[in-house]
Amino acid sequence: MASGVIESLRRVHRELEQVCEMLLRPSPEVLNGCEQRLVRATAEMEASRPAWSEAARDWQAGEQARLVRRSLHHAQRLLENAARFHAGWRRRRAAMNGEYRADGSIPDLRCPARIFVEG
Amino acid sequence: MSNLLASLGVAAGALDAFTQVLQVTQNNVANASTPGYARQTQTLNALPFNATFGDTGGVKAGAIESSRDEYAETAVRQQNVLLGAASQNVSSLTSLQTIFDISGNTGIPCALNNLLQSFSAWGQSPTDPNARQLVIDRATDLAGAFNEAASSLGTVAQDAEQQIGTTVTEINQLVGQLQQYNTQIMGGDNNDAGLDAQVHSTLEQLSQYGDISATQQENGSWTVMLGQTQLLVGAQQYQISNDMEEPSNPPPTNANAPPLAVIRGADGTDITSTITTGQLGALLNFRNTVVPSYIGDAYQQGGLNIMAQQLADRVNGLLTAGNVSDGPPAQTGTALFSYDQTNATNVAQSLTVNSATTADQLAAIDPGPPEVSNGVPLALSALANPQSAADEIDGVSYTSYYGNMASNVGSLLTDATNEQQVQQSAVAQAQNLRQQSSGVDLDQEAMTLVEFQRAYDANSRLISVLDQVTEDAVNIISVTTG
Repeated sequence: MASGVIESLRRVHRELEQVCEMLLRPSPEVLNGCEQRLVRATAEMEASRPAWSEAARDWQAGEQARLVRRSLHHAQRLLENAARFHAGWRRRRAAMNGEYRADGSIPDLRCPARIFVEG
Repeated sequence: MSNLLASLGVAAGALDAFTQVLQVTQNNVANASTPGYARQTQTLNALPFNATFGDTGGVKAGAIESSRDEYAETAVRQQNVLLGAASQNVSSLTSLQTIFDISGNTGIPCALNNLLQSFSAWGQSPTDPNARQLVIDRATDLAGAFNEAASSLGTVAQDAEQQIGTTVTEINQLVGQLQQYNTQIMGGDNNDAGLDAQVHSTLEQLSQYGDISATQQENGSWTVMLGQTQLLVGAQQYQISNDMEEPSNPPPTNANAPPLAVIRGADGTDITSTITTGQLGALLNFRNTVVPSYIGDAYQQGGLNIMAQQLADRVNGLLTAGNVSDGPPAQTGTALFSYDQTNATNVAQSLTVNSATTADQLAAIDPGPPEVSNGVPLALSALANPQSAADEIDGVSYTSYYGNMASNVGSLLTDATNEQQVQQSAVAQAQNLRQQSSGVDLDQEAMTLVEFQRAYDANSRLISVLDQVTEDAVNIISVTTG
């Protein structure tokens, strides 16, 4: 049964490595792709959960589980960095134009505690 | 006729404007690979057109605008600082790991194992002169292994000191270049794209060394800081320097301990504690914290010295409490090891086997009562598998203590290697974000930011779920695999 767990963890690891690769050039489309891969990775982990205890004595399974966790933390750092960049970009944009668009309309992205005048 | 001339004038003006657009485009293409270069755009302004009043319209070239965004530039520099630190940690810890061999085939673990085996063999034949001589030979080997490890650690510390000096020189040189650029900018080259590229390329190089922040002043010049320390203001450069110094506050507990590396600002102020990241921060941490944890400093003895001293004291204590012969009068044993008693941080480096010690001076008899003819070598061989606290160091056997030191180095190196890998992709990501964000349309950007926020929220939630699930997996699967 350990081989099944190892193979499942490998698939999760591959998904997460792909997420890391995709996050190098984040865009809304790329992030949607990442979301799908993360959903698949989560489903794969949950599906293999019942067999984990049977792989408890297998060092290869342990090593593969650690690799999965390392990739996840890698992806987490890249996601946080990109989110921080765009959050800062948004604050900067708000400081430049009060979040109004060039045609005078208000943005779809509302800021809390900010009053927008329409019309 | 005048209308025709006016039309020709408009056409000529437009041609001039478009020529300038072409020149800017050509310059962008020519500098596509120039480090630090940011694409420029020639703006075009419509001229008033009103046939009634004779305004002929047309177009004229406006200002040249740079696509550079300082926010994105800063983001790249911030990631560069972290990559500089991670890369330096990998380099420093790799040199440290070569000293701590855990294979057991060389160095201290091999020599310690051989000495413990020679104690055991002596216990089997307590009166055998060859078995006694083997103990002396193995003890000499172990002392040599400690000397070599301490010496290698000293060399690693010296290398780090040299690298700190080189890094400080490189920082000063790069800031010197920026000072020259500032002088040119303040002299009137405020809109020179080439100069701007050189400034940003230099700032990017500089950022790998430490927490560099750069702000542009109204006159176009750059103010550069390292943490809270000014490096450049206008045309004035403030050079930093490095030094080795024995700390005085609080007073040192170890006399004659190795000094620590110190960085000073231009006014001589000690700014070492403010430099915590980048290549310089990593070097300072390695030289002043990591290396001393093994060979000591003014306030700690260091793991290697602690091990050498406790082992030597324990072996000497057992040998001098035993007897070489029953007598009468009973002849007591001689100490095997000696070391520098005046400097707690020099024990491993100075550990030696007394040259005057001969095989027949080693005490095998435990006087008891009851007297045991091979009691001392048996007690010595118990150091391999300690049964009492007296035979342990920090609650474990000497072999395990060394193994813990070695595995700590290995663990630090593994963490540093992982961090370097993550940081390399973080820098690549920041560079791509810089490229993506240059010259974006603000309206379009507002739409994109909405999509970004939704996508980040969704991905973050999934990452949190996976974090818990994978932690469970590691805990369950690794529970017996370590």
